[in-house]
Amino acid sequence: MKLILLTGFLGAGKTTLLKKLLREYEGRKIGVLMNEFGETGIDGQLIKTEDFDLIELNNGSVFCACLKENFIKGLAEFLNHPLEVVFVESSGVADPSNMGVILETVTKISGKAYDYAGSICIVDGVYFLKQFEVIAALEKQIIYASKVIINKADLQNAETLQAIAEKIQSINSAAEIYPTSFCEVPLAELVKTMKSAELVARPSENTWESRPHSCILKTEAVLDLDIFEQFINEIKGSTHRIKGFVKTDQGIFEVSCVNKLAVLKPWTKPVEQTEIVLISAVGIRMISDLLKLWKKYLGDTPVSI
Amino acid sequence: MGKDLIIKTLRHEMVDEVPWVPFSGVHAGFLKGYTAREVLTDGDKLFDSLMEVHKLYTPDGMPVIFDLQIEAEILGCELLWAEDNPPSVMSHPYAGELKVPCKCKIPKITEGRIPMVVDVMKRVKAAVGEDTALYGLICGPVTLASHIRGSEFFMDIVMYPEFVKELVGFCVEVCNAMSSYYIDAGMDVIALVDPLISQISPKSIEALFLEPFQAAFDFIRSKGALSSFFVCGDATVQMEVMCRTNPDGISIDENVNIYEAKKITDQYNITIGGNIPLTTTLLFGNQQDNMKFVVEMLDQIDHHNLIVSPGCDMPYNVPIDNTVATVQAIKQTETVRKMIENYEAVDEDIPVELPDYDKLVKPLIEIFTLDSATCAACTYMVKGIYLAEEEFGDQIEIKEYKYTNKVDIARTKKMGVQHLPSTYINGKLQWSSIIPSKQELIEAVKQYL
Repeated sequence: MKLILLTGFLGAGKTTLLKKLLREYEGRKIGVLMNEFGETGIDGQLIKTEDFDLIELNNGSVFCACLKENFIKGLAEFLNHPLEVVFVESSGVADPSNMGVILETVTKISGKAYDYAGSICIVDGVYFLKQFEVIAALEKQIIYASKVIINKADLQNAETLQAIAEKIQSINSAAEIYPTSFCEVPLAELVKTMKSAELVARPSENTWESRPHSCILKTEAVLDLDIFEQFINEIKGSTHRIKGFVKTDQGIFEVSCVNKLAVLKPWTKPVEQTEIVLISAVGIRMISDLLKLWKKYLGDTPVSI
Repeated sequence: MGKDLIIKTLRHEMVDEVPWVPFSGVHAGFLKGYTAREVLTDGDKLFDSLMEVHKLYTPDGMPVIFDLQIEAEILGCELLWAEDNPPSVMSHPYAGELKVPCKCKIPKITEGRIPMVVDVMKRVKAAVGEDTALYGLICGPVTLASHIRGSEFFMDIVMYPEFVKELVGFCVEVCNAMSSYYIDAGMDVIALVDPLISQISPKSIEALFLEPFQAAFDFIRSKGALSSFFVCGDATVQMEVMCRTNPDGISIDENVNIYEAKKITDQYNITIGGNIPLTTTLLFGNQQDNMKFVVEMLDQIDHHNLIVSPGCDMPYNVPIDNTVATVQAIKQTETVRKMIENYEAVDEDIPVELPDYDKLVKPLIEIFTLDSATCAACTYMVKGIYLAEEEFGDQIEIKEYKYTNKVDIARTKKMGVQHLPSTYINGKLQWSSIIPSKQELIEAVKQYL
C-alpha cells in the first residue's frame, strides 16, 4: 500500500490539495489521515463532504512524541483495509525527519508494511521566503520532499517565484518543483511517479522553535458579519493562520486567513457554534490581542478562548 | 460582607474597611492538628482545616490551597514532602535539553492533585463562598518554568532568550488551563504566585515575561474572575514592571517597603496586598507585636486599593493567637490601638489582686481574651468554655477578662498569660489558643470538683 505524506506550512494549501486528491481518486479506495494543530477539527469538516476513511488527530503535530502513538495506530489500522493509497496530511508545523522510525513501528505492530513513496511539500508562494527565516521545520519539509508545489503563484511576481525555486533547489536538488495556483497540478500523474523513498532515521527536531501557539475562539452568539470582518481584519496581523466557521446575522461563513489575506465564504452545512482556530505569529501575546480586539469590536459578547 | 469587600477593593472601588486575607496554606492544617502533607493531599482534611481558618480568622478572602508544586508534579517533577512545609521540587524533567513540553502535557482536570483541589474548592464555595472571596493559587509561569527546567533556566535567560519565551509561553498555557479549572470551581480571584520574579532583572522581565503575564491576567479576566500577582522576596525594583503586567492586585512580602511600593501601584491603580512579616512578627512575635505592626501600617498608609495579609504562605506553626491579634487589629483598629496604649500604660503598675487559688470555694475558670465580642477565636473560646456551665451549673465559676481595659490587661500580665485567648482553671493554664472539645473540658473540670 502506497503511503504519501503531504507537508507544508500553515495556510500554504494542504487542505486544498487534499480536496483535489479526493476528487482525482473518486471511486477508488484511499485512506486519509489528517492532523490539525488546533484542538478542533476544522479541516475535517472542510473535507467531510466526500466518502472516504478519515482518521483525524487533533492537538499537535503528528511527529510530536505525544501524538505518535495515535498516528502509528491510525496508520496500522489503514493497513487492514484494501486501500490503494494512504495520504497523511501533517500539521503545518511538522518536521518529517523521523518518519522512518514511525513506519518501522507500524510494521512491527501490524505485521504489514507500507510502501512509503515520499512526501509532497506545498510552499506558500506569497510568504515562503519570510516564513523560511523563522520556521525551522520548513527546511526539513523540503529536505524530505520528492515533489514541491509552489502554490499561489498567481499572487507573486516572477522574480520572487524564481528566488523561491532556487532556494528550494539549494536545499534539495532532487525535488521536482511545480509552480502553480490553487494546487492545480496533474495529481494522479504526480503520485504515480513517486517511488519508494529512502528514509534516514534521525531524531526529529520538532521542538521549541517550531511550535507556534494556537488558540480556539468560541462563541454561541450570532455575530454581525460586518463587525466580525473588521475584527478578523485586525486580529489577522497577530496570526500566521486563521480558519474556522462563524455564525453571523447573514448566515454561516467559512473563515480562512493566511497572513494578510482574509476570506469569508458562505457555508451551507450546519455548524453548532462559531469556532475559529488562530495560529499565533506573536507568541502567547495573541491571547491579549485577541481579547482586546474582541472587546473593541464585539464589546461584551460572550467569548471563550 | 467580606467577599464584597475583596471584590470592590480589587476593582479599585472605595470601601470603608480594609479587607484581610490570611494566607493559611499549610498553616490551615496546623489549626486542626494535620501535617502539611496531609492537608495538601487529603481533601477532607484540607476542607476541615479551611473551615477552621474561616471560623477563627474571619477572613474576607482566603486561599483554598497554597502549593506551587501541584502543576510541576503533574509535569513530571519529583517532590520531596515535608510535614511542616509545602513540598519542594527534587528533579527537573526538562533539565539538560532545550525542549518545550508538548501541549498535550498541559495538566488535565483529571490529573495529579487537581481533582482533589477542585472538589475542595467546590465544597468550600458551597460552605462559605457566599460571604468569603475564594482565591485559587497557581504556580506562576516563571517559577513553573524553573521547576521543570531546573537551575539552567537562569542561564537560559542569558543564552537562549527565544527558548525561554517559548517555555514560559507554554507555562502560561498551563496557568490558563489551571485558571479555567479553578474559576469553574467557584474561585473569585486567581493569583499567579511567582516568587522567582524577584530574582530576575526588570529588563529581562520586560523583554521576556511582560507579554506572557499580561496574557495570563487577560485570560483570567476574560473568564470573569479577578487576578493577582503574588511575589516573594525583595521585588522593590521589579514593582514597576510587575504593575505593567496589568493584574488587578499585587501582593508582596516584608522584603519590600509597602509604603514605597504603594506609591507605584497607586500610579497604575493596582491594589496592593501585604505584608505582615512572616517570621519576625507572625511566627516569633507576640500578640502585641502583631497588633502594633498592623496598627502602625494602617496609620501610615492610604486605605484605598489595600488588602492586609501576611507576606506569603504563613509558616506552619504560627501561633494562632498571633493571627487572632492581627485580625483584631485590622477589624477593630481603634480598640486595639487603645489596647496597645494600655499595654504600655500598664507598666505604670495598676494594682490587681489575684484570687487565692488554693482557697477557692469552687473551681474558677478564667478566660483571658482580646474581646469575645469582636474576636472570633475569643468568641469560640468563651462559647466553648461556657459549655461547662451547662454541665456543672453553679458548681463552678467562669470569668472572662478582656484585653480591652487596663485592669484586665494588668491582670493578664500579672498572671503571665502568653497568648490570647487562653483559659486557666484555678490559676493553672489549661488551654492556650486551643479551644477544647466539650469532652476534654468536662474531664479537665472534673479534676477540680
